[in-house]
Amino acid sequence: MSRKDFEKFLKDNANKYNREENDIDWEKQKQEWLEFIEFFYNQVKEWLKPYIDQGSITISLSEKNITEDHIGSYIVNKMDISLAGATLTLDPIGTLLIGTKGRIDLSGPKGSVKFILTDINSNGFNISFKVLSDNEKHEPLNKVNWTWKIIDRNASGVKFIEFNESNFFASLMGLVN
Amino acid sequence: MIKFSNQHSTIEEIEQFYFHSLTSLNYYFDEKSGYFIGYSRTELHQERKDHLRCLERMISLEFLTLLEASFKIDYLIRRQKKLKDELSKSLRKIYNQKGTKASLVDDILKAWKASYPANKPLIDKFQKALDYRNWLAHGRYWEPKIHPHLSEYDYLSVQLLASTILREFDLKKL
Repeated sequence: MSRKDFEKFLKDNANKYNREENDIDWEKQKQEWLEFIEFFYNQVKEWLKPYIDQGSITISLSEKNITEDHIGSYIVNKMDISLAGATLTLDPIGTLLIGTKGRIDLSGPKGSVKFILTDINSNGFNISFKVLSDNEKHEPLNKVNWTWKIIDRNASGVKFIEFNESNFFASLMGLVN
Repeated sequence: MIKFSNQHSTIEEIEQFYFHSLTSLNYYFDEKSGYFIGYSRTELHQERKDHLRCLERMISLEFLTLLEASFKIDYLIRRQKKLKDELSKSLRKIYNQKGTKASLVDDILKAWKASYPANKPLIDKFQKALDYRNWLAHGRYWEPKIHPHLSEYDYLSVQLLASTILREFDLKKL
């Protein structure tokens, strides 16, 4: 490969990168992600409220810094949930992740459960591969109706489980017992 | 008397297995795979790296057991064929005392070093690599403090050692 080819390669790819980057409003992406976290925490607080009022569960928030490409650094809240002699933590991971608008991990003594934003109609998929040719493009994600789901990943594929009160309580119990 | 299984690998087979496995891993750990939905790029790269390290350890063990098998086969073949060179005579003497229970390090490699002093540095390297082989084969459950040189070994260093020994040494084959 000549120097000329190499310089053309650099120029072509730099232009492509800049075009893609300029098309996205990163501040808007971040705000939407922060709103989804807020929605998630409000939902959790609503489900836990009777037990918080009884004194059998306590929750507390602490700040965490996340740094992501294009977006930079920003602050989110982690939520500690103390119940049955254990403390579980809801930990927002970020928004620029593969195939999702965001992820929150719930971790505890027995492992972790991952909550991700996915399309409301998606139930998961089996593992498959498709190698795209140079002219093919990925399907755009801009018409996705994001909603929180629990992701269950195993050897045969990925399954999404409804983020509802019953499944959230099951997650809490599974991470303590 | 040992009955040969003919199931020991060749270095070419191990290298080809490594190449195909590495290529498969690189295809598999791809952002386009639905399995990795929700991963950050850092997590994806780390998981690929962890699997690659696991693959390289498996392959390193395969290389080192190939070397062990090659020296043991050579030991038995030299005796079977009643070869007359100095090394074959030394090995036959060991066989008459210990039979198939001869130690790779204390008997066979020692005889090689005595017969081919020029190859001593390479055999010493192999002996040190056998500590790595033992660490891998026994499940890596201990911190290799008494063998700090274990950290020197990776796929490339073991592959280079195996290919050099198999090329430079006159190891008799089945």
